[in-house]
Amino acid sequence: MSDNGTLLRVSDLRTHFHTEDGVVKAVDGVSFRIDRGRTFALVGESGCGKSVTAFSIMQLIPIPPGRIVSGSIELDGEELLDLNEKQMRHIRGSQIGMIFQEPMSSLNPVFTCGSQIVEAIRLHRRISSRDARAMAIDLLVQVGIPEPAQRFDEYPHQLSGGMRQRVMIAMALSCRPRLLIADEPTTALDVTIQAQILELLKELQASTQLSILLITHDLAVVAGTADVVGVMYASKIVEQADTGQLFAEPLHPYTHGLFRSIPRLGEKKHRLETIPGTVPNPLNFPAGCKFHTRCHIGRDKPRCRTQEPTLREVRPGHWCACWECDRYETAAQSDPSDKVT
Amino acid sequence: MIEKNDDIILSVRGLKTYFPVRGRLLGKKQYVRAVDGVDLSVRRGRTLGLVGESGSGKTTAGRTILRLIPATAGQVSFDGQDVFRLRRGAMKALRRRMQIIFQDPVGSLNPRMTVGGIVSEPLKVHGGMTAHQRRQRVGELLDRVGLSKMYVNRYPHEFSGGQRQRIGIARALASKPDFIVCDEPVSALDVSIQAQILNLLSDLQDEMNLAYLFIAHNLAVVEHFADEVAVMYLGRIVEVAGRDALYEKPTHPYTRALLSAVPIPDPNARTTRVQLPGDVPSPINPPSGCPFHPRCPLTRELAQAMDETETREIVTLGESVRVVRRCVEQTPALQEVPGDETHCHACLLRQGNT
Repeated sequence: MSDNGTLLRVSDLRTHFHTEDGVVKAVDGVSFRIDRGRTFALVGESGCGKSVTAFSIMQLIPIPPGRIVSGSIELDGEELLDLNEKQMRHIRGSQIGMIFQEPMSSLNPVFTCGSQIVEAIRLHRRISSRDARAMAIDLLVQVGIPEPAQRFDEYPHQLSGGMRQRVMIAMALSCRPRLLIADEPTTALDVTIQAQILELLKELQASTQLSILLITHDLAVVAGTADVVGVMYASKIVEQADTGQLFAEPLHPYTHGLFRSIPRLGEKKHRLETIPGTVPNPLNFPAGCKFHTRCHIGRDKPRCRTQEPTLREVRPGHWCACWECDRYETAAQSDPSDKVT
Repeated sequence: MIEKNDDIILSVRGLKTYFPVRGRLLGKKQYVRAVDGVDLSVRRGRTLGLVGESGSGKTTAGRTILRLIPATAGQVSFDGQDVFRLRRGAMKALRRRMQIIFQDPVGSLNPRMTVGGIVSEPLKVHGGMTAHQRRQRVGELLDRVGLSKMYVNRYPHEFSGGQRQRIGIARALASKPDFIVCDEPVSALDVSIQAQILNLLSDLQDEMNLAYLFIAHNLAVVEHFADEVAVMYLGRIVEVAGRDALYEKPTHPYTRALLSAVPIPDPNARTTRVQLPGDVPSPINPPSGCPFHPRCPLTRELAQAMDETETREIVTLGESVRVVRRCVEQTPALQEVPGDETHCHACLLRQGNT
């Protein structure tokens, strides 16, 4: 593991929320690293803790009720959890940029798009407003907005969803951050626009050596964009591997279930396979492996019901938190219906 | 397209839904042409998928068919009855047979009503049952959609998204309908839950011979679920076909672009993407001729080989491009693909060949 390739290292991150009903362990021991110019994807269903992980890195967790209980977040060797709010404010924007799922609610409706980009630039750089305007228009060109000079003076509601997301990206990149956190960046968009935005992110990454933390629930989006994938379930990463390896050979029964429940183009199977039940309530996680209640392998196994498995390296570079995954994988591979046409 | 057939439960002809826009431009009243001349038919016990980007008018079409939004023009006939001409009493009786499942399971359930109250509401409205019978029927319905009878006295907020969608389905089933408009029923749900709901809908269809109008933007879901598929763009149907024909031989350039934009869950898949520039234009002032021409890759490609009299220069997304003149001047109508009378498309450039 060469450290000069690593930009962000998150180790054993735990973020808990103290609510009236009890302690919600939203993130409970998450570790991963992102190399320069690479994309790491966190995949999971709603409530698994993937967004809380992103907000913890940015330290945008509301305190209280939230609290980063333990762990470390190192950006280029610098421990972010030791910084005070002022130092952190400098990191946000200039080192780490962030884009969100719903661009309409993250843009201020009463300011023009241009002025919001200029604000972001001038918060971090001492330049004249005229230079900032030129820079902002230049950014709008970079993110592929047609007629940028005209768009500069428009308000967010005058733009379409895809254009708004492009403005968000322009803003996030305005101070040339080294890491971009993209929290479900295309979930609210149409497939055609999604394809445009994903393409744009790839181009920007290639030209600026940007590292991306991509948060999504959509495995199909991950396939085309990420280098490494972590699958989250119930506040923990349950499987992590290079994208190619994970898609070729998912080891965790949850990952496997996710793959099988997506309808794919060109597949006309009448019934979809499902993962029974629902994501457990974080106030009341099951004992043992948190997935055992929904798992067709571990449901009745005494070890799965009582002891929680930890991430272990099952193959080189392929980590999985499952007691049974060695045995499971043979069953999975013998199934020919899993092939994509 | 027009079939006289007992098999057809719902047939829609020339449906238009316009919404007036406040204010006038040059003294002329303006309209959002959300649905602008749609023809559809849904067969008994079958599913017609209706796909398109947001703003294509698919949701408005679904609601207009159910007379939840007044139509501007056109005709909807349900099992031989002209839906838009029915009087109050007859319409109420017909509503028993036509139901809807909404996208947002939170917004479509009254938070102050218990699950039992929500599901029994249609039974009360349509009458003819004692309280005891209603309670029994609610129990059966909940059981059928995979919820425990014990939940009758709980409130919607106590349930997860998937469970709420099940409540919405139970409510739609309560009056024993023949036809349900499913308006993006799974797009707000997690992947693992999506599959559960799709399977449930498909089991119910088999059991009760339900016809669905399945509105969705996810083409993979529609391929999985529908028997026939109609593709909508800016208020019009641009292609309609049996599922296999549409997915294997998409004809309209918009359908092709939509299909190629679907991300494939395989990192090794290298598809030749048809990148579609820009967004869906405003339905207040849709482009002339073929509404797709400003974004259409095909018209740009073909225009290159044509001489100047046959092409025209248009400005789109701040750049000027050359397109086929016909596409700007003529409005295409749905036409059959040779050799397949169930497959129709509305593209001027694909006449006679594919």
